[in-house]
Amino acid sequence: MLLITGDGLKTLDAVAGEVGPSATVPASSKAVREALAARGL
Amino acid sequence: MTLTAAPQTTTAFDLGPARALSCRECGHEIPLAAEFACPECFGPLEVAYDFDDVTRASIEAGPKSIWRYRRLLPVPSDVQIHPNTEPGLTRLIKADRLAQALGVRKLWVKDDTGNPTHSFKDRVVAVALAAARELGFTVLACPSTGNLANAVAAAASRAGWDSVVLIPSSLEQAKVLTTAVYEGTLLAVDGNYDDVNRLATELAAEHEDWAFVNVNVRPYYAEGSKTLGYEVAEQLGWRLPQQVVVPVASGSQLTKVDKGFTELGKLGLVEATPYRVFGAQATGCSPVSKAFAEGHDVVQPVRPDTIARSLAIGNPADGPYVLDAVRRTGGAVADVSDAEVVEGIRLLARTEGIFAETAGGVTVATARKLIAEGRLDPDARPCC
Repeated sequence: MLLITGDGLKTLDAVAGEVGPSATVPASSKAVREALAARGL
Repeated sequence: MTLTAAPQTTTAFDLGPARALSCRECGHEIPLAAEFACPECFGPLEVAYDFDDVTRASIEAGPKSIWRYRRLLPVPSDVQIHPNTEPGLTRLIKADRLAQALGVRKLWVKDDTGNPTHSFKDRVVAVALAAARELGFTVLACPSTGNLANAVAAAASRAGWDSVVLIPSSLEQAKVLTTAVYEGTLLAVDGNYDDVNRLATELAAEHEDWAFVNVNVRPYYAEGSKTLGYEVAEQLGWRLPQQVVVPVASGSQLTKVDKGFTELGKLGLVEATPYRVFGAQATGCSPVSKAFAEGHDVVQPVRPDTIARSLAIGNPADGPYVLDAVRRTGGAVADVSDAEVVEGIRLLARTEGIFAETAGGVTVATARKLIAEGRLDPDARPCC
């Protein structure tokens, strides 16, 4: 049994440097397809 | 029990009481599938049902989540055995201090901040995921500007699915983090929400196993909002509120709360007492409110400019159906300024201890405006 005692919303700074977008791309179909392909999708 | 008059159709899928997809414009029906537009007239499709006998006792004996209503939703009969976020059964608060501040006799607040990712989107995504699994999809996806991104990424993680979420790259850091933390694929696109939505629609056509919850499985996804109506009625002791104020973005939520109330009455689960539905928008994105005020049936798109970003849909797909629902029930649609939205957030916080997002501020501020204008009856039993 694990007790989770509060939500992560109030401590976003803890993960701010660790997670983020997989990629930032121009608003074009080609760019999106390439970004997804780079992730094996 | 059949709630729409239409020929029977057969399906290979177990989606509970769902019988077919029915066009909201022409009534044409097609078998259950991952479709969202009518092949005859391109109108939007919604789920049509053959309900079994559903009783209050059978619902009350169900799980403490939206799945207690599974026999009223387009989900498989074994929906509970698959890992999911189990949203719903959030608090209905008798809001006496807010009622006093607004000058109404009785007021309840349905507090959907208590869902797993803190918005009603967990409801619609849970239903979409359940239907998507049955329809053969393996990836959960969406274009979003916030709440939906969180809900999709979290639901996919819980289910062990991959997720693909497209967001505008200008999105606030907090919203990016609260989606990215689930470690699905999160693409930030240098464009606005319209660009993101267009790209998602293209991807939905290219990837047969990707369920874009608000695109190719939208008819199922949208039905999840009915559970807000079901819960309000059950928590009121199986009664309908006399007046309900609902925020309007695409308009889907308002129409599905109305659909939920109607179904409960037709199934004999509540007395089908009259109720009035009111829509709430921010003035900076108020195309439905404007159409209502001008007596139009068609909603003219606008360019959103408001702090209520979760409601900032300039071309609301369900806008005409919102107008139908509020006019049929004797309600109204109104809008409030961003300053009023902030005051609505603060009023709800200081009177009832609920810190809502801007959409909550829109609802409270619009209720206050409708009361002041005499359009919302202060002696009735309203619910926000």
